[in-house]
Amino acid sequence: MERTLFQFVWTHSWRSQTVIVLASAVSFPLILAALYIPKLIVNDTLRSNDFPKDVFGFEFEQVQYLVALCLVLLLLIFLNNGVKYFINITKGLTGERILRRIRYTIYQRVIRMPLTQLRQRSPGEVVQVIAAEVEPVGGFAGEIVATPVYQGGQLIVYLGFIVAQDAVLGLAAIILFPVQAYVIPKIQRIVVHLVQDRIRNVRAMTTEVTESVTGIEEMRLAAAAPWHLARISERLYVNFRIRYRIFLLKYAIKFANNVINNITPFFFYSFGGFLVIEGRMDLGALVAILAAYKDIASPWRVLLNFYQTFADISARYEAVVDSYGSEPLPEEEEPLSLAGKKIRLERVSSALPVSSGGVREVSLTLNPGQTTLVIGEEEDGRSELLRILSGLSTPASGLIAVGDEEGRNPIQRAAHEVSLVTRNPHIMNGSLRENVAYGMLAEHGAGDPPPDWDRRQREAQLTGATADTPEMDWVDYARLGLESAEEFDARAVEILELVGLQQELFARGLSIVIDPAREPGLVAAALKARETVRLAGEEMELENFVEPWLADAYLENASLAENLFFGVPDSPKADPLVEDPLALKALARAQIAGEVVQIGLEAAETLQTLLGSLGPESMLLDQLGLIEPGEREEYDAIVLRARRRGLRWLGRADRMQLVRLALQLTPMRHRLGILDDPQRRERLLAARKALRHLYAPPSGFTRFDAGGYVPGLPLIENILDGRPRMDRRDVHPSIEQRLERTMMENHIEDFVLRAGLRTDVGYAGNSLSTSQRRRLALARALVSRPSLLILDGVVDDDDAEQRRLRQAIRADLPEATIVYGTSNTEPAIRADQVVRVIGGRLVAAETDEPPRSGPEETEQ
Amino acid sequence: MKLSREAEILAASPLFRGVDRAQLKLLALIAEARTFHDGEVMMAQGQEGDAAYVILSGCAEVLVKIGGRETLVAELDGNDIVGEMALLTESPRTATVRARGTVEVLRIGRDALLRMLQEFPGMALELLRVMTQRLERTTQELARTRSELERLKAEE
Repeated sequence: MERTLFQFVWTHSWRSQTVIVLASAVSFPLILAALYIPKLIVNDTLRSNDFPKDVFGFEFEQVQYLVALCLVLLLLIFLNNGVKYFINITKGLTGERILRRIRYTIYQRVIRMPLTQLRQRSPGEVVQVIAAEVEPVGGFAGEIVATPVYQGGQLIVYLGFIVAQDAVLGLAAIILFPVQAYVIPKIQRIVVHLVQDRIRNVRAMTTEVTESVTGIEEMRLAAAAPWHLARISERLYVNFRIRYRIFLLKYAIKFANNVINNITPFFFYSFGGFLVIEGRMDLGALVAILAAYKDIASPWRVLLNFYQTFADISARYEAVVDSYGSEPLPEEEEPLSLAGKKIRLERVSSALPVSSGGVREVSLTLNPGQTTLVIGEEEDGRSELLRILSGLSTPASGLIAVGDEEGRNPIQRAAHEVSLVTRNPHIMNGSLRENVAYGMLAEHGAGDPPPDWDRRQREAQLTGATADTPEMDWVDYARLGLESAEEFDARAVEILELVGLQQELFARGLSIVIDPAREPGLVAAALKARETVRLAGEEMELENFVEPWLADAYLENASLAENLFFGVPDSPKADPLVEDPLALKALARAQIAGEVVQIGLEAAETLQTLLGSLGPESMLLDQLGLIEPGEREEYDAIVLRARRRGLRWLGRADRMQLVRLALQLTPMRHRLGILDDPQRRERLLAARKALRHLYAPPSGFTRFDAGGYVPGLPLIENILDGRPRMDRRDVHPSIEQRLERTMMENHIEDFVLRAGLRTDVGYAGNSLSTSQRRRLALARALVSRPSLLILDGVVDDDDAEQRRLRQAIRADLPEATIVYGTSNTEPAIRADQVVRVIGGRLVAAETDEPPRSGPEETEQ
Repeated sequence: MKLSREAEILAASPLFRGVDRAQLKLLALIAEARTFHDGEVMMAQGQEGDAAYVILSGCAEVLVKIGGRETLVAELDGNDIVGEMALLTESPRTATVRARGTVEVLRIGRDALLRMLQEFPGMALELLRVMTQRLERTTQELARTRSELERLKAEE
């Protein structure tokens, strides 16, 4: 990155800076003209009788002349402000582009930084730098050339004007400028130091906050909150002191400026006045000087302010460059292929000391297509050795050779062909498919560009960023010889099955809600599956697991809303029925609204009695899922009002609240007993009939018995044409498993599995178990068909499932070089080569305990 | 009302005897209903479980695999609670429970119970008391069995 703020801004925006300067130059005569016209109007038009006037060959009478001048004035006002508007917009744009560029550049440098360097920074600090520290640069970048040029220009013009009139007076007007030019930078230098201190302090504070959030469990257990509060308090106090000193100095500068700027006229009045009285000076001259000085003082003050801001923001910029912009980045190297090549480590020592889990003088050869087993504890050097082999770590000394290529770590250049799975893989927030495809992303996104592509490209070019959007298709299908996203999906499903995630994938697929208009294929498959499942229903004991949508029965597993309207809104994003005024109106017209309010009141009363003894923040409410902790008091108040005034006199808001509660009630889930009365159910079912013709919202609503695909319901309910019974959830095998078996027998399970690929895994994969996360990471590693697969501490157990998995991996990657790392001293893994790491050194497996060599496939 | 009846049943089970009735109603409220049909396995020996069942109606048999053969060790019917060990520890199920006829149960999840205990420490104490009594009884039985064993050995 450029060393100074000015270099950075000028290099990347000199074009727009020039435009701003030129526009400023254009605006200057316009401003003067706009000031000059009123004078003409007063002096030349109103006070003069010298008409008709002859201007550019046209003759004007007094009124005509006035009108003409006013029109010119009007035109000038528009022009003037138009140019100003243009300048402001251009400045803003330039600033935003510079801001985007600087943020992008820093992020780019952060993610390319050598790992050893990056590990020393706290994530909080990086966020602070990218989000906050560079922000003011954006606001200022548009000024950086225009202000000094424009204001400086004004200053010179005025000064020239005065000097041309009277050299001595001109010099008198600027007599104190050198004093300011000398004193202010001196003070400003101290301010800059303080600004740097402040930046350091705030960075340390963000580090501290990040640490608190990540270590919150330890903090709670240790009851260490007071100590942490004291630490933050200390940081904030230091921050306060620095900021206090900064504004002391800033205002000191301002004070000095103001005093000096006002002292000059003081000289004029005192000495000048004296001279005038003495008769040695003309009064007119003194007035002229005072006026001229006023003109000069204004740009001069702006220039001084500009200098202060510039110094301040430069200090920030330099602090950022010092930490993130100065180190040279590793160069992009020619990619290297590992396929069919021997990998040789010769006397390799890690940068990490042995005492911290490093390795020393390790020599090892991996033959292509062979399996190597590295036995040892993680901290004994096993993990570091595997990290070196994966190219993540660069050794401090020794040599690594890939085929004929030798170097410190040429494996780094083969990232596309290496996969490493550890016990704690990082799972991204995104869909299963995105996670699986992560290992085979392309250089650029492909597929349909977004509609504003041209604009994005232009902006990208102006800010040195990429125009590609994450919404494009980033998967590098060609690398696997695949032709389409569908083929890749098939591969992803196959791999997820291989690693044992098929059941999870299927269950997830069943839960998705789709937009039928956009996915006719899925709808057709689901309806076909519905037919198949219906035919197999008896064998699957469906009637024991599914509550069908019977139009004349009260549904135990559906909410009151679903029971009344007997359907669901089409869009899953649409507000639930509870919030829809049309729905409430329909309830009133079906003459059931009163009953619903009554149900809500009964529920509120029951809950009030039951929850009476609970604390206000009770977690039990979450468990119930009917009302939010914050709503309890509201309901209590409503119950009280209903008792006092009677249900009929409840306010509209109260009634709405009760309806909202009532409509959520699901007999099987909430079991308050309120919906069990047969007569009440009769009434509700009668209302269902009436509502059929009373409710048709514009956003779409599909009834359960409409016959086709019901858009608002998850896939499983569409396939089953009913809802899985909540009270049958614990039966083994579950309805999902039965469905999976039946659909697999009929070879129609694929669309569900593919749908499962699209489901989200949650933040850091928290909707998956630890074991599932490892399996997903393994799938990610396998899908790209790596030439070198390294499995550190995973799939190393001696049970049937993992043995099957190892065989499946080998079968899927027959030509890959595979390295297993394990801490099992009696490993079950069959390998062509077995080595042990002890105390950071490599020891061949002891001969008295012969390594069980031979390919794993022969093992039974 | 349904919940009151369920609270009665909970109160009748040894585990919750002595716990406040209002709290039991609350427990019944956050518990979930489950139904099992004849022959269905309600819990399988050796598998992880995270819930206990309170039998509301119907009966079930408790089977333990001894030497590869399932042996009937107990029969359960209304008011019985089963699988309660899973509420407090994450150990695998020690027996298989199979429904005989249609069985309706109340499922008390570990999460739900732990939240209840957090809310009402008195309930935790009550549970502790019951568990301790059980442990005491088991210890006594163990001692008796041991002495019986010693006696038999001595007789040999």
